Amino acid sequence: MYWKDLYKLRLSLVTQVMYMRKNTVVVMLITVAIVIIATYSILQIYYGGSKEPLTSATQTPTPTTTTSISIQLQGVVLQGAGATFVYPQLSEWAKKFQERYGIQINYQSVGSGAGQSMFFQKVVDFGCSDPPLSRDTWLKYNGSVLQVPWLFGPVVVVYNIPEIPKDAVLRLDAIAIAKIYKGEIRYWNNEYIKSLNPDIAHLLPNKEIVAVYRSDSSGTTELFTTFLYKASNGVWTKDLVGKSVSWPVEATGRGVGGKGNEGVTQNVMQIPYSIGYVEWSYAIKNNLSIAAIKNAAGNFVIPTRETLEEALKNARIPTSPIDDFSGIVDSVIYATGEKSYPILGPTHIILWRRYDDSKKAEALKLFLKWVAEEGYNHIVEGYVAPPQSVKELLIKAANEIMSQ
Amino acid sequence: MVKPSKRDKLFFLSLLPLSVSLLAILILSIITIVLRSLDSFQHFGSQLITSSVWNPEKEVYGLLAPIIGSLATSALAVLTALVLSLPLSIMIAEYLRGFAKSVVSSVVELMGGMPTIIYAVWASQYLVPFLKQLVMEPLHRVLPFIPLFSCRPIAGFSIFAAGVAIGISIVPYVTALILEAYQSIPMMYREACYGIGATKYETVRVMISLARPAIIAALILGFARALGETTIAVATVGNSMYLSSCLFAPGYTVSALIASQFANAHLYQYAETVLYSSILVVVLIAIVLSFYGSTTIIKWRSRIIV
Repeated sequence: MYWKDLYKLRLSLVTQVMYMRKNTVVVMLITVAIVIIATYSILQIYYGGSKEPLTSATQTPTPTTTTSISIQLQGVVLQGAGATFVYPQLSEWAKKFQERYGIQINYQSVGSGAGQSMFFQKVVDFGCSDPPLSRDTWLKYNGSVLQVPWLFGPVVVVYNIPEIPKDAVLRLDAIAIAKIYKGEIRYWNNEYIKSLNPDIAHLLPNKEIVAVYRSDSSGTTELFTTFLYKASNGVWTKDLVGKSVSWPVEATGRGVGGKGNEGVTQNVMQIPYSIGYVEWSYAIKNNLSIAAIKNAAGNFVIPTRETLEEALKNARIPTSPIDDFSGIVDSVIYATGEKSYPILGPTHIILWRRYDDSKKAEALKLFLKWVAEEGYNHIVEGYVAPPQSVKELLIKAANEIMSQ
Repeated sequence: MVKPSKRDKLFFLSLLPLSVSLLAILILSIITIVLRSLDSFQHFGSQLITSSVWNPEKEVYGLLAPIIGSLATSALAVLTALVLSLPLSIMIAEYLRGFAKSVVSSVVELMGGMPTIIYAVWASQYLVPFLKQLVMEPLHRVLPFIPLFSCRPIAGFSIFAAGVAIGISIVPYVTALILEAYQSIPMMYREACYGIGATKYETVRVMISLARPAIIAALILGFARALGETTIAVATVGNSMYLSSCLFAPGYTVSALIASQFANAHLYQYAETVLYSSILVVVLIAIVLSFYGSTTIIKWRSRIIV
């Protein structure tokens, strides 16, 4: 009786409570209290006793030289943005770094291009980009930006051919891939592909190849097209190299674009008889079949730790983080070496030399040093640690960062 | 007439800024889009809408494929929505009563409120292979001489798949509009039909013909809404700058193009203005159609009330 009238009158909550019977109010309060206590205790069980940045008592003992710095810097938040490639590794590093020093690192994986622009507009503190700054950009900011190629990762060619068993490996070379992405090779049982794969030639079906590419602007595309240009002996021309290209296969109606590495992975998994290119970690996580690519020495190699380290031996890495890195991609792709994997690319971290906020500058220096000493012991599947010269570069960069 | 008191004038003035803001935002955004896209029209001229290419490294752009793709997917979406929502609205209005009617209406409203990303993921995982196997391939086998079905569906992702997926997502919206129109036809007409001895089927036919202008207006509004559908388009259209008369080939829509390319467009000189000009084309079409659709419904409602 009470309730219906009250509802029609639409009194405020307080007046409603005032008119309720005492028992009802008591029961309501008890229920609310139980819910709050239950939620709090559940949260404590799952997340309790963990990475509270302000309780130094739960932290592992830090060396005495950095104790004072780390306590001062706890609670600092570093913002970064850039390539999707580096995101899995960076989130692993950020987690371990926060456990150690209490400094939080936030990263938005928006793509190399957007990351560079956000960095130059000073929206974020550091940027991550697969390709280094182009020579023109570097000249524009000469002396005020630092770059370090702190991670290397391969771009792998994945395929989806149901007829080929999981343990057999499809062999491809740059000329075959270039012709597929130009639309010139149409069927999987093309004579050229058969000649590269004598053992499984009889398994190759008479189905049309669907070429999957990146529909957005991507550093992965730049690495992939640079490899095709270098290794295909003129089939893939220089004007088809870049972060976002006009794929000739599109005009034949057999090309499909995917957004991000995730989109290409999804498309290759779903479309039978398709081929695509993704970063190694995505291929591993989704259990895609990886093709063996012919390297400069003429051997067909799949990406493994050894083949990648072999390719890195020839990388021409500049000695100072202030230098121009625009030539590094060329030296690492299609490198010489019996076992080197040909499609390898760096990803760079881009930093200012001078930061207005001294706490941020200190935090960044600490982070770079930590990565050089500790971080490389925690490499996520799909990446490979860079050579010793890069670790020295990181320390040099850490020393270069100054605050006003 | 009584002169408004000072308090009333003050009240009116206080409402003014907030209520005008929506209109101001609309006008300002159109002006911004026009200004930002002038550059591309000056530089590229008509070549922009007569070719299909996206090559930012060489600064060559042609928007024909995405624009035609947007129009084609929206047309297909409207067709799908018509086929699915007209029977649904007649069912809800004429045959369902009480509990069943409220449940079905709630479910339709619920689906209208679902985030489109759910439709996008569902469509790309389940709808596309289903359409490819059970609709596209049989159509291609049986009717290859019709240019719309002339190419073989290699990947399921195509204008056809995107059209159907977007159509399913606008069904709740179109159903709501048609139901509202149907239920606002005065009882007088139904009573008249039953009075002269018409069967239920004949009555429904008469009611539909009375509601026809409103149904067409609902479809036009649905078309304008389908033009802007982004997440579903990116997941199902194939993202390929390929223009052909065949519905089963991968293509592009303007919204998918913007979703893919806008984030990195500032890296290149003309990419951003070209994208703005594509937005301009779609926004103009959507505004004109929405305006036409809403005014048609309003005029129809005033005519039908006796």
